[in-house]
Amino acid sequence: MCEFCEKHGHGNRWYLNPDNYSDEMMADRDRQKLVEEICGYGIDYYINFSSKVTGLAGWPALGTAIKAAIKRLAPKQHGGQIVSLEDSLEIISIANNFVLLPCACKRLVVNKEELCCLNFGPIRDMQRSLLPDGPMEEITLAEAREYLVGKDAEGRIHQVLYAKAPMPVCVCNCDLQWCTSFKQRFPHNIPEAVFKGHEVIVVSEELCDGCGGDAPCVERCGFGALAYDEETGKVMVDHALCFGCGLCRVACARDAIALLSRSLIPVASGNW
Amino acid sequence: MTDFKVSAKACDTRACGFKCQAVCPTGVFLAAPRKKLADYGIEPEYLISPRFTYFCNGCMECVTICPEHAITIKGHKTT
Repeated sequence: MCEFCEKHGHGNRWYLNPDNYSDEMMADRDRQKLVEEICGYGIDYYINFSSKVTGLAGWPALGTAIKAAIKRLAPKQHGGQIVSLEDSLEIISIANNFVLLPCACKRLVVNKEELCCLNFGPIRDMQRSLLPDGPMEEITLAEAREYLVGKDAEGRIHQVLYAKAPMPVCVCNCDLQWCTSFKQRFPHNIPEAVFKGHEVIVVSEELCDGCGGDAPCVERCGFGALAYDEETGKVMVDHALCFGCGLCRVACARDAIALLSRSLIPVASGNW
Repeated sequence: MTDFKVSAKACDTRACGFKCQAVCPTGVFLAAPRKKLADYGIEPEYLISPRFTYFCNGCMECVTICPEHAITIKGHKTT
């Protein structure tokens, strides 16, 4: 179980605890300020600042101290965790006030606008007051479900983002090319930038036939966790690298890939 | 493994419209807002900042496309 679940999960995963979605969460002044900061064009400054800070973690002398400071401060900020499609569907069944907003990462990194950030809760009203004419699309729960399933098939990674843990405010549909969370995590290995999901994948040895060496799942994985083993003719998983997004399942023609709780695999257990 | 250093001086984003971002296959460039405005409802001005150089694969596309010749890439071998 991850640190957030222990503190805020009440025996469940933190993002599946309905208490974390309640209106009372917005009584917190720091959270109110943060929500204002991540709406409108505020998120641009936010990404600029946080990527500067995480970049400093590479300094030889102060890197360790900066990493420790990030670990301490990150739960009070805007961050996230990878979720599978099943979990993201459960998240939206708890949340309300759905709105699709343009992904700030995509806008800032590849200069393209796409409404692919599924926000909920207090974000809609805040966005309305800050950018009344800005691009946004209000959708219903059924549309949101359909949207997530469609994006999953396209190969987008789902990430649940909190505004000051443990209040989830958005499920984003990322791509590794522009997602600034991953860009902050990988260079200096900062898990607080984006936590790995609660599950890892397992490949059934009986069902997998490596698709005759083609193995489309290997290509689908953005983290390099899958590899085709020529000796056995099957696909092997490196559980230390798996983020548990579950996207490889879509590419698998034989239903040989399934998600399994991270705590059951020794290499992956506790590796957030 | 090769390590790249990307720098973008003399960059004029308004003139070119973020061409380097469009060609970069790994998303190295961040459009960084120039200075903090009090109101988050106003669009800020952006400057190109090669923030995520860790992901640079040295394809040199951005160097060739930049109309201001503002981008330089220095590669040096690390083991």
